[in-house]
Amino acid sequence: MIRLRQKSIFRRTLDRYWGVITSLLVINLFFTLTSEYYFTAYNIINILDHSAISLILSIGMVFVLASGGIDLSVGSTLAFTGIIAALLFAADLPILIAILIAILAGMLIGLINGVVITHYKLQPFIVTLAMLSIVRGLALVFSGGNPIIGMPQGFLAFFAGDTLFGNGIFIALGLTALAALVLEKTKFGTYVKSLGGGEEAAFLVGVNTSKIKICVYIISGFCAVIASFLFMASMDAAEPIAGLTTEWMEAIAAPIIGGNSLDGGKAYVVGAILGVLVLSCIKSGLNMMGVGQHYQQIAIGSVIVAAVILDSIRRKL
Amino acid sequence: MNTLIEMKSLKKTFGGIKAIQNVDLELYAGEVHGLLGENGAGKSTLMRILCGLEIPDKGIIKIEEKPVEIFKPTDAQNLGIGMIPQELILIDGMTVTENIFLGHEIESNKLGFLNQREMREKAMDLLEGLGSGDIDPDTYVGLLPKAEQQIVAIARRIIQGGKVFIMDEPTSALTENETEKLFTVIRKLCSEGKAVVFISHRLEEVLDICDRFTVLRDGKRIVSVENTDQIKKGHLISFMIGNEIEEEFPHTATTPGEKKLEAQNLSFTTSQGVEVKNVNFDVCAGEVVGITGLVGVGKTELAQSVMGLRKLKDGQILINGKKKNINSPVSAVKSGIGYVTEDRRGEGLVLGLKSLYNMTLSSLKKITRFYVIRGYHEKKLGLDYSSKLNMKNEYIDLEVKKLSGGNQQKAVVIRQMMGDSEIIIFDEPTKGIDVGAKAEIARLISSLSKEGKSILIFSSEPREILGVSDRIYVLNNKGFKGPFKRGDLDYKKLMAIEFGEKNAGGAQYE
Amino acid sequence: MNKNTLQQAGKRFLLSEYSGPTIAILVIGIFLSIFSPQFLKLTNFINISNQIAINIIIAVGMTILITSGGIDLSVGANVALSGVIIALYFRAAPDGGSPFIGILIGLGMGMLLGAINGVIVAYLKAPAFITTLGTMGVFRGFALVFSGGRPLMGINTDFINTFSGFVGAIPKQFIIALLIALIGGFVLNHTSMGRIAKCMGGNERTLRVSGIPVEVYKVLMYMITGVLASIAGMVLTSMMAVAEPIAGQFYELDAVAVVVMGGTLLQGGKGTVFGTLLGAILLGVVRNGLNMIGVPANYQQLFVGLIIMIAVISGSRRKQAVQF
Repeated sequence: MIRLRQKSIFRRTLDRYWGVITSLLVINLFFTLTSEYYFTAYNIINILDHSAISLILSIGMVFVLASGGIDLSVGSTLAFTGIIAALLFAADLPILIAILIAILAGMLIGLINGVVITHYKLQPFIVTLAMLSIVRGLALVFSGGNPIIGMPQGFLAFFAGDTLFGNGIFIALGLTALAALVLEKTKFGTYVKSLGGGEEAAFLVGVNTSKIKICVYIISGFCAVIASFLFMASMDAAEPIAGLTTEWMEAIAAPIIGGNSLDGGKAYVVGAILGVLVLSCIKSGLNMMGVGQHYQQIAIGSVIVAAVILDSIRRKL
Repeated sequence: MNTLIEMKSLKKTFGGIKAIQNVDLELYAGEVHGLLGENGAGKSTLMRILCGLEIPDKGIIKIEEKPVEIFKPTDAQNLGIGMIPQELILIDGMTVTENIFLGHEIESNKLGFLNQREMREKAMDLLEGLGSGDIDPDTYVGLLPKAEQQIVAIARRIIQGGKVFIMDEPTSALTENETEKLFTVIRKLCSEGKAVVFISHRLEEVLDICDRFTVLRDGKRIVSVENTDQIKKGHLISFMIGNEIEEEFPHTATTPGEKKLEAQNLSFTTSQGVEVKNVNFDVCAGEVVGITGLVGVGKTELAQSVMGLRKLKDGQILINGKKKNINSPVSAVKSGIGYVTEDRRGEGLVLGLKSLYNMTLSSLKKITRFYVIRGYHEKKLGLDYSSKLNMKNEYIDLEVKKLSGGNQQKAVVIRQMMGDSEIIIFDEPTKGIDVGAKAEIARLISSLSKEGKSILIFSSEPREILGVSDRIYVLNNKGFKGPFKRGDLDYKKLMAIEFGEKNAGGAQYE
Repeated sequence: MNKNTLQQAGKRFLLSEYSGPTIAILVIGIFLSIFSPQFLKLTNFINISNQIAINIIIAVGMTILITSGGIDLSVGANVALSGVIIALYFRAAPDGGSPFIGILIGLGMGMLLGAINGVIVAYLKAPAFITTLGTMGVFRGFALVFSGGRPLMGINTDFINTFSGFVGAIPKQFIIALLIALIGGFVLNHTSMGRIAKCMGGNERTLRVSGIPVEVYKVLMYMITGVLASIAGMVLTSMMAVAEPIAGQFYELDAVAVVVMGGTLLQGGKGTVFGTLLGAILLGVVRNGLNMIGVPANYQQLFVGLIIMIAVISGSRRKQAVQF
C-alpha cells in the first residue's frame, strides 16, 4: 500500500495565504512608490515594533475566534491591567509581584467572560461588549482618569529594551510560536478548533465544551495583559484610554484578514501575523503619506468591514 | 449466544406523545441486527436512549447481564456503545486523522502534546483495514465524498472503542458498490465480536446483511425474528405497517378544473447529494395531488424547489400555462403558491408570537390600511377562519408555542387560506400530530380542494396519501413515477412502488 | 367591579417585564430624594429629561432593530457625522441656509448610513455587530475628516430653535423624544413593519417562506435606526449649538443598555418601546444620582456596562424559563 506523503508545509502555506500575501505585496509596493521614507530600514523596524502589540492581542483572539466566539473587551483589559500594574509599581511592590497580579487580573476578566458566556448561554459579543464598558470604567476609576507616568527600570528593560528592534517584537513572536505550538500540536488546540461551526461533534464525543471555552477567554485576557506591558514600556506610562480607538478592532480584523473565521474552526496563526502586518503597513504608509489620524480611522474601519464581508463570502463557498 | 445488551420495558413519552411503549430488545455479540419501522415508529428514540441522548421514563438496560445507567453520551461511550448518525456529524474543517481521533487523541507526553505521527499511522492502518486505504489522512473531511466520510465516521467509532455500533440509515447516499463495501466492513466488525444495529428503510439490504430484525410500530415492538430464507420483503412491510387501517382520512370527490401548476422535467439534488431528474407532474384546480416516497428520498427538497426555496438544476414550472421563474418564495407567493412547511416549529411558525399574528403573516395587505394594522379587522378575520377549522376562539390570542401540534398546523394552514393562495403545497402535513387532528387536517385539505384550490401534498405516510389524494406520484430510488389514480392503488401496491427495486445508487436516475 | 379589574391590572403589571425597571426607578428615586434635597426639584427633572432625550431617540430605533434580530453599533458615529454634515451645510450656505434643508440633509444622512449598514448585513450576510463596529470607525473617521477634527459652529438659529429650547417648562428635545417614542411604539405594535420586525427576530425563515422579501425589510430596519440616530444628531447639535466630530461616543452602548433593560430580548422576537422608555428613565435617574454623589461622568461607563451585563443575564434566564 502506498503511503501518502503530506503536502509540504510551504505548499500548504502558499495555498492558504496567497490572497493575503499578494495584498501585503501590493500594499507595500504602493507605499514604497508614494513615499520615499517608507521602504527604509528605520521604518521597517518601526512597523515591526508597533506590530508587536497588535500581534499579541490578535494571537489571543485567534483562540477565541477558533472556538466560534469573539472578545471585544481586550482593549479595556489592556488599559485596566496596565493601570493596575502601574499603581502597584508606584506602591513599590517588587516588579515581579506587580506583573503577576496584573496578569491574574487579566485572566480573571477572561474567566468572568467565559463563565458568563457558557453558564448563561449568551452571545459572546454582548457579554464582552458589556465587559468592555465595565473594565474601561474600572480603568478610569483606578487611575482617576489620568495616565500614570514612569515605569520602573527593570520593567522597561525587559519589555522595551534598547536593542535594535526593541524586545517587544521578540516577546510577541515568542508568544506566537507558543500559541502555534499549542493550537497545532496539543489536545487542547484540537479541542478549541473542534468547537467552531457548532459544537455538536465535539459534544457528542465527550469534549468538555464549557471548559475549553472558558480557557480561550482566559487566554485572550492573558494576551491583553502582555500587550499592555509592551504598551506601557513603549510609552513609559499607563493610560486609562489605551486600546480605546483601534487596537481592539485590529485585534479582530487582523486574524480575519488572515483567514480565521467568525464561525470558528480555524486557528491560523500565520494568518494572524500576516493580517497584523497588513494593518501595520497600511497605518505606516498612510502616516508616511501625511494622511491624518482621522483618515486612518476610516481606513481601518473599512478594512474591518471588508474583512468581515470577505469572511462571510468565504463561509458561503 | 452472548447477549451484549438487553433493553427491557423501556418507555418514553414526549409531552403526550408515546414515543416508546414497553419495548424490549436484545442484542447479541457478533450479530447484525436490523431495526425497522415507519417514520415515527420509535427507532431513533430507542437508539437515542441507548446512546445517552435521551433518558427513558421507565425501563432497564443491561450490559452483559449488569444493569447500567446511561444519562449522557459519555456514559454510553464508556460502556462501549456508540452511534454513527445519519448526518455523520464530522467536523468538515478538520482532517481525517483529527476526526477519527476526536476525543481520543494519542498524546506523546503528559503536557497534552499530540503524537501526530502515530495517530496518522494508526488512521491509515485503520482505513486500510476498512478497505479504504486510499483515503488521504491529511485531507479535510469536508472535501471527501459521502461514502468516504462514512468510512471516516466508522473509523472514529472504532477508535472510541466498544462493541455496540449503531448505524442510522448508513446506505441512503451510497451506490451499490459502496454499499457492498460497507457490508464487508460490517461483516468484519461482527467477526470481531461487535454488534451492529442497522437502521434502514432499504428492505433488500436489510434482508441481505442482517442476522435478525426487530420491527417497531407506533412505539411498540411488533416482532424480533431471525433472518431466514422464508422472510420476504412483503413480510417486513406487513410488520411495519400492520394490516388494519387505523386512521380515517376523509375524502370528498371533486371534478378537477384546468391545470394550475405544471412541473416539466425538473431535476434537483437531494440533501443526501443524490441527483433526481425528469420529474413531471401537474395539479389542477380543485384537485389534490399526492407525492410520496420513503423518508430521505427527496420529497422536501422537491417541495422546496417548487416554492423557490431551493435552486432547481433544470426544468420549468408553469402556472396557469405560463412559464414562471420561481427563484424565491417572493415570486412563488406572487404566482399564487403557498407553502405549509414540514418543519412547523422551525420554519412554519414564529413560536413566540400569538397564533393570530402567525396566521395573518401572508395577508398583511388585507388587514392594514396605509401600513397600519387594523386590530379589530385582524381579530375578526382570525376568528372567522379558526372557527371554520374548529379551533377554539381563545387560541388565537395564545402564543403559538403553547398550542398542540394539531392546532399549530391549523394556524399554518389558516395562513395559507387567508393568503388566498391558489396553489397550496403541504409538506408532511400530519407529521407529529395525533390521530384525531390528522383526520381534521385531512378534511380541511379536502374542503380546500372543493373550494377550487390546487393542493400538492408531499408525505411519507402512505395512508395519508391514499386517503386524501385524487392522483398520486411516487419518488423512489429509480425515479419519479406516476401519476396513479386514486382507485388504482392500495397500501401494498403503493408500498411496493415506494420500496422499488434494489438501490440503483447515487448515479443519475433514469 | 372596578376594584377587581384594578387588582387584575396590577397583577399583570407586576408579572410583566415593566415591573423591574419601574420598581427600580421608584426605589432609586426614593433613595435619592432622601439622600439629597436637590433631587425632587423641578430643575433637576428638567435636567434628567434633557439628558435622556437623545438616548431615547436613538434607543427607539435600536428597539425596533434589536427586535428584528439586528443591532447597530455605529449610531454614535452616525450622530456625529450627521451633525457635522449639517453644520457644514449651514456654514457653506448663503445667509446661513434654511433649517428645512438642514433637516432634509440630516435625514438623508441617516438614511444613507443606515442603508449602508443594512445592505452589508442583509445582502452580504455579514454579522451585524462586527459590521456596524467597522462602520462605526468609518463614519467616525469621516466625521473627523470633514470637520478637520474641530467642533463646527455657525448652526442656523432657526434650526437650533426647532430642536432645543422650552415649551413652557418642558424641554423641546424631551417632547420630541417622547413623540418619537410614541410613534416608535405605535409602529412596533400596530403596523405591518412592526409585525415583520417581530417575526424577523423570532424566525426569519417563516417570513421568507411566507413570501415576504426579508432582505428589503432588513435594510429598512437599519435605515430607521440610521434616521433616528441622525435626528438625535440634529437635537444634540441644536442643544450644543455646535457640531462635534467626537460627539456620540458610547451612545450605542447606552442605547443597547436601555433597550435590554426595558425587556426587549437581544436575540429578537420580542420588543417593547415602552420598556425602553422606562429603561432610559432608569438610566437617567441612575446617572443623575451618580452625579449627585459626585461620581465623575467618566466612571459612569462602568455602571452602564454592569447594567447591560445584568440585564442580559436576567434576559437569558427568563428565556430559558420560558422555553420549557
